[in-house]
Amino acid sequence: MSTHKINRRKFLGQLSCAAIGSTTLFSTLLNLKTLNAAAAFNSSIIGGPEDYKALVCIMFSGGIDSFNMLIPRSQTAYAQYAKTRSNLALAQNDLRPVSADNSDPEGREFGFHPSMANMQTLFQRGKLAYVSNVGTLVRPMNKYEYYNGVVQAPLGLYSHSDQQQQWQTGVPHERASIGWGGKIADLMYSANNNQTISMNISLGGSNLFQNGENSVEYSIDPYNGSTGIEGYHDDYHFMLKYRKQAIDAMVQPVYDDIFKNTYVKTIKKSMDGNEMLSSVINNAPIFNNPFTSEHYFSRSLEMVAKTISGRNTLDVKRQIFFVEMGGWDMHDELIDNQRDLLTVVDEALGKFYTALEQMGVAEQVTTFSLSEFSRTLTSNGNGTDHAWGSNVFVMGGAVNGKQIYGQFPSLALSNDNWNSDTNPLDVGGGVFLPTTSTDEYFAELALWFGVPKSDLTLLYPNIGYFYNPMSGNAPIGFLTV
Amino acid sequence: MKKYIQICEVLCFIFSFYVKSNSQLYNDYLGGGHNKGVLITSSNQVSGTSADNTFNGKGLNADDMAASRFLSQATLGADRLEIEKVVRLGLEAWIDDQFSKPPSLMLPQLYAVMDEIRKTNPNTYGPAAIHFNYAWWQTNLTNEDYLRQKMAYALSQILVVSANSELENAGDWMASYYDIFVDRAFDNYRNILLDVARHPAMGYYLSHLNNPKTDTIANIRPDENFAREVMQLFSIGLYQLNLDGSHKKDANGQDIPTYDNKDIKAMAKIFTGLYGVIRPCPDEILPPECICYDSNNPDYCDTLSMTCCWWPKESEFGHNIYVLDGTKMMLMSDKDHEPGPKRMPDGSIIEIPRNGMAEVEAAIDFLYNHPNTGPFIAYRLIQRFVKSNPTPAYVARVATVFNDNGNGVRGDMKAVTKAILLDEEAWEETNYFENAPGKLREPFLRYVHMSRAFPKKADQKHYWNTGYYLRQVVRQHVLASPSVFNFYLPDYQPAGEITTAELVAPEFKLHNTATSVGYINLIHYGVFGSLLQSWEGSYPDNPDEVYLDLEALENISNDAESLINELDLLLTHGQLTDETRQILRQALDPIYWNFDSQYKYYRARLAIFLIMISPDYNCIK
Repeated sequence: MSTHKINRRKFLGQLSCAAIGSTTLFSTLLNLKTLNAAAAFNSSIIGGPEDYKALVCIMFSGGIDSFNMLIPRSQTAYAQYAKTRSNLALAQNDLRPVSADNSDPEGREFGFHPSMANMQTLFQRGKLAYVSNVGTLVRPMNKYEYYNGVVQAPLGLYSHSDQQQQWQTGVPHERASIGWGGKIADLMYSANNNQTISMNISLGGSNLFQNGENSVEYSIDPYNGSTGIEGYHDDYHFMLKYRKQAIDAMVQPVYDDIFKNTYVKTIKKSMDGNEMLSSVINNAPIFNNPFTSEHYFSRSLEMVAKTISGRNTLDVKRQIFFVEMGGWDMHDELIDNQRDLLTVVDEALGKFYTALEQMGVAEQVTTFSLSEFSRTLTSNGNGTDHAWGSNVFVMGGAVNGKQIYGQFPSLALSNDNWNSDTNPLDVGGGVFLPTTSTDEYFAELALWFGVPKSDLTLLYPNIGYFYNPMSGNAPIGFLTV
Repeated sequence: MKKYIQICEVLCFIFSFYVKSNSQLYNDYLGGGHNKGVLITSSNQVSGTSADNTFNGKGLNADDMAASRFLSQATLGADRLEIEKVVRLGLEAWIDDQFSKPPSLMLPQLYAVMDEIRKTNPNTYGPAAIHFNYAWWQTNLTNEDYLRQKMAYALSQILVVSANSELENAGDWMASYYDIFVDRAFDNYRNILLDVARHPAMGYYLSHLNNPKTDTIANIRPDENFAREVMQLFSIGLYQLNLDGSHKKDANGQDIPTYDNKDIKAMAKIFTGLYGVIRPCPDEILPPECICYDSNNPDYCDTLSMTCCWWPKESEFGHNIYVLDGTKMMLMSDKDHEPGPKRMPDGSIIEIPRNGMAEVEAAIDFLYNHPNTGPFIAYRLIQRFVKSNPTPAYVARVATVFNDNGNGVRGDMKAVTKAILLDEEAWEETNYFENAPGKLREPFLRYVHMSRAFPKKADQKHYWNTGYYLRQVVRQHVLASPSVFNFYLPDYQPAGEITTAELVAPEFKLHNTATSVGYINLIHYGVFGSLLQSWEGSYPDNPDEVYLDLEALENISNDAESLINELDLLLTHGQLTDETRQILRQALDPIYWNFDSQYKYYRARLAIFLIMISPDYNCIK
């Protein structure tokens, strides 16, 4: 017994002191100190009963092949696409044509994947937009700088876990454990009178995106909604009364052990939140265009819509939802699998948008996609591997839709000739160096949601290298901020 | 209020105590957890016995408690007999005894399950994941190779395949894959890694099965999936490590990557040309008219998944998983294997012309021999066996043994197992008086533990469980993670106090507002309803469920304190706190004989339920 025990105590003691102002792991995170400073967020900017806003984050985990979602359909560009993608190219006639209002500098016309019928309609109605070739970046960089390492690149490029982490944290140069959805809730918590149910609601369980310094997500189940302790309010059996008393006593966070406190706090939060949330979900309106699919993605969006229906009962002005859909890591059988999954996605998004319109909140809810990376343009036989820049979509009544933002890259492969490169963005096998940083994409969403410009660097420490928060412009323009 | 306990000496004779002036006074009785603020001095220098124990009369069975605690690390759940066995043998002798137990393999058990099911329902589809689950539960509620099964389960969370894929329909692939870990639990990590690389379940899951070589004209290049994850998750990880698992730093204080994308592309070339062994056409389960193509009724046969007319005659590169035997290792087609040199991350070259499988072995050897692999695997195994936040010194001690078992052998899993379990940081009882936490128990293993700790009654003569309820409400079941990244990453930090303390707690990834309460409902159902359920029974005549048999426990339930003490031994290893004991007494005491004639039934079950959901049980030290 030994010195070990003493050392460990000492070790822990030092850690708790170091947590404030540490310059290593936490240097870019909101620790309590910076958070209090940032309490400059003024809840009076939140308006009256009509000032409700929600962000719905859709995480396509696994890395979605987004260059088979948004595809050039005009002749020359399609031919290039077909050549590069070889046996993974979709047929030109099958593409769903869309016509963006902003003209492509190379005059290209685009189409959507054949499974994306509802998204095509929403795009044409101006309710959906794409941002092309978005990816994690620490600093703006070109191919030369990337190859020679003279400009800092994101950690763990092409790795699922690292890139998922970075899309969720907005911190591509460190391994951070606080997500930018969680940080927004830390900053803006005072916008909601109801503090029992977190600003962050998850349909995908615990997740990094909604992990804040002070706030944790409230998880609900796509099928059952809010989960309560069965029989908690029943008294048909004498035992249940004593069970309830014991549970109530047990979930008080009075323990010295922080694991035990964390364990009971989650249960307590669930019990408190369930009382309110389950009645809201049970009293949700009947949707005219009902969610008929049993797929968890469809059921997740249905549950989001039901929760939004109770915003006034819950007395909340800001909500962030997280919906995760996996299965996109299609190293194999890409054509068939992507067709099937995109059909699920498209149908659910279509119904979700209709439900929002029915409830009169389409302009107050902005849905956006994340995925850790797109996939190589070239084939590995019948699938694709991990790439970098990808195409993301945003949907909502507030979206300046029917546009393709960012720069859609040439789909030619590089000849690796520095003097006359056939594609200066291709860093190998159809992996694109991003031309729009995730920071710009996220910042626009955060600004729309109400994060003050002065606090953007707390959320995205590198934003200043891509966007001047003090400029009068939006970072990208798909939302009016 | 903080408790100050000084144990000079223990063993049940209390020389003196006094109550601090700011503490609560109890007038009713001593014990029952009523010892807050008490300073105890007693007569013997034995570590591991606290004031709590002394007051509760438990100081006498400190050995039992220590054995129970050890088994919480070394097994997936144990009963009283095994606790007594550990007391009798001692830790190391028990481990040696376990090394000598023959492995309880999953594949033979799976075939036995299928035979039994098909005795009554010959056309039963499968084996599927559900049948693997039956076999797993049957094995792990009856086996004697506790330690081997614990290691197998731990390895299945590092070298991950999952039924959340086409493997849902391939129980025999899953069982055969899992048997790599059961069979080689105490073999050598090199052999485990090589078998994983060659197994068709992994070949399918990370898509290096039928992985083609480069075809520049068609713009096709080798699949990088397995190449990446075998490095990132199964062996060396993303960053160069010191022996103690900490990251090496470059001159600028930055982490040093172990490989880059060029290395992944090179590694991908190694894992090309692998293909599966075909299985015989399962014609006996097809209608006769489909044994050969029926031109009069072509549509009918097309609706079936396969007919034997076009079943491949020989195993060769390119056949898809539906015609493959998932229990036979993949073979190498040298003509489909990428020729030429492959550069490893350290600059060494692998090139063995016309012998792709030798290249696979060489690459596995490279990874296995990499200096990162010892600390990488040591850290992960310690997290599965003992605690979430091992000290760097503990990691270094285990990694040192991984690197050399003392006889010059690297990767010796027996030596690694002992290094983990016999380390002072694992067994030192005083650790759990500290606030330094152990780990959150995995929800799946909580349920396995509860199922193992008590006798059971089965409608049929087996312990089958579909696992679907667990998968649904707590999101965890063996071989059913969401992705190759397992149920959680080793460095996951839940928001709040744990993050602030810069600690990790992987299992908290599974603990959210939905699953934490789902778990409470799960336990209630398991204790008051049925414990395990299969889909093979029918109601009401022929059910197939398993129930806890708590007769022995009910017999001591008239004394709530005895009941709690017995459960503290079986479930919480002497770590039940005063707070929880008080809560238990307040719930159990009012349930008594003149209130209900079945009061013992309810006392025993409510006590188990409350302990199973208590923070004392769930946060094990």
